[in-house]
Amino acid sequence: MTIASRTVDPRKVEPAPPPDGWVIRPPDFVVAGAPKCGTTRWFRLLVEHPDVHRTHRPRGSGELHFFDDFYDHWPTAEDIDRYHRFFPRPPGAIAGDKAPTDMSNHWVPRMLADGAPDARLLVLVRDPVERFMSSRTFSENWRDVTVGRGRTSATFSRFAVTRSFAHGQYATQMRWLMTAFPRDRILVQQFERCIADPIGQLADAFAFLGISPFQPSQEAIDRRVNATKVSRVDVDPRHREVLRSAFRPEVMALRELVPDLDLSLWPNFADLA
Amino acid sequence: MKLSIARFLRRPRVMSPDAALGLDPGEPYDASPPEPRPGWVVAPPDFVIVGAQDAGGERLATLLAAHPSVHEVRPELRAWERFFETWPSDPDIDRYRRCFPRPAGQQSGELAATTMSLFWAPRMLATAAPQARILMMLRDPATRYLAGRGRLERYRPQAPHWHYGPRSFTHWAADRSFSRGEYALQVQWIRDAFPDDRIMILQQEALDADPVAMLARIQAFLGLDSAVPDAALVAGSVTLDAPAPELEPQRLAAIRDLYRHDVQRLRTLVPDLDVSLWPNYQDEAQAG
Repeated sequence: MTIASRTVDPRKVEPAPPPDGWVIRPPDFVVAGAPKCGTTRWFRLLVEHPDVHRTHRPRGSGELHFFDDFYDHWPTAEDIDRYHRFFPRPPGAIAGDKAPTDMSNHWVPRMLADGAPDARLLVLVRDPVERFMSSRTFSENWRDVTVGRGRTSATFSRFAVTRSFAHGQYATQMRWLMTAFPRDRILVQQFERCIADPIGQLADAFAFLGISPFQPSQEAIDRRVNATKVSRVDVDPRHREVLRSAFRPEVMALRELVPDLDLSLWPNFADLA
Repeated sequence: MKLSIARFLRRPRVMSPDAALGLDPGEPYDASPPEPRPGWVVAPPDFVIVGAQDAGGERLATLLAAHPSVHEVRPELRAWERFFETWPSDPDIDRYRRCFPRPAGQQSGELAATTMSLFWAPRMLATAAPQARILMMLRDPATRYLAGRGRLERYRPQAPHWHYGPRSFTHWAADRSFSRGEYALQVQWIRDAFPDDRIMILQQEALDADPVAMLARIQAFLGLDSAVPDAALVAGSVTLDAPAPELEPQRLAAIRDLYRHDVQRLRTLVPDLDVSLWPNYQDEAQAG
């Protein structure tokens, strides 16, 4: 399986025509990142709300990654119109997109603002060193196919390391989002809090989206998603220290942007709390 | 030995595409330690130009290599590129140190333009060359982005089928070119590994405007006698950017905006940065 086959290629898929009477609009909210921070679980819990339309996706994780592929051409009005048509909903309902790489692809925020100018953005963050390890482990799912295509195994590892690091540069990416969206339309939540207090954190998210309080079923809350199927990758202890040190300026910059960030929940940065 | 930079620039590109792009850590790096001549000193480099890529590092290395007390500036050993997941062993570090033999009383340096952009590399360099002086060359990041895109384009025909398919070369080139220009975090990584008084942060625009004056500052920083390089070398050392692919006006505007906060953050870290030299951020200088 490749990354390309895992997700829907928005350049090839035409949205299905909506039922009569449905409304086509840009998404009202976007879960914009970060990968490996519980975004799949969070999005599934958000769409449990009766006012949130569960947008149909043809297959896979339901992630369109619509703007990921616009690294070499700027979306046209037709592209933006087609993006909107992925979000039909019954009158009165809201709809959302989940694209965890939106915040880490530097070209996306401005395009997303063109495509969903009034959207509210939800950003989940997690101890960046732990996120790195999770991402690095997750990348192992693609080692065989990538090496089969001619890359060396070492090259693949390096690619996985640099990408896994880049996705944890939350402050930098928040600044990118803020070039296109006002800060008060971005809600930053911590993965660790969402695990410890899902009901309280969901209440914050629903309030941010302007919809009524709602509590999903316990079964929905307890449902596991994206369980790791490969052996956990670990790194040399000195490399772990390098990761801590390399992420530290980003964590401090994030705290300026998110004053209620609880660093005591991040074991690698608890000393900053 | 003086001409090692020129030799590097002239040498045929026979590496695999991944290695040529600095991607393949499995490729042997060009770091076979030369045999020192009798009486020579074997020691870590006295100075390292750690980047940024496409920001005048090659020109600076060429000019420094011409100094009578500089034995050579070794280009792009890529000593730390492969250690993204393991720590270099003592023999690895020792091999690196043996790459810089020089006659007694002379200095040796390295041009390692990717070092500042690899989050793992600065600490390894500090372990291997703890006394080295660090030269960082920065450049208007939006201009540097275009130079980076242009340089990478020459690898497009060689690029294998990339991770996501044929178009992903562009994806990767855009990503890499952008991240290399996020200087603020990279400055912090270097400062985390080396004391401030052994780091000199420079601007390509200042080097281009007055290379002799900048060289004088750098020579003083490196503890070298002041020496004015030959005028023909100064003129001939100018490196030209490869033409960048044509980008839409919206993308260029977005790139300028995306770097803006990094430039602001950089100014707080490097108060004497002259942003008025950066055409895309001159308004920041006017804003104070």
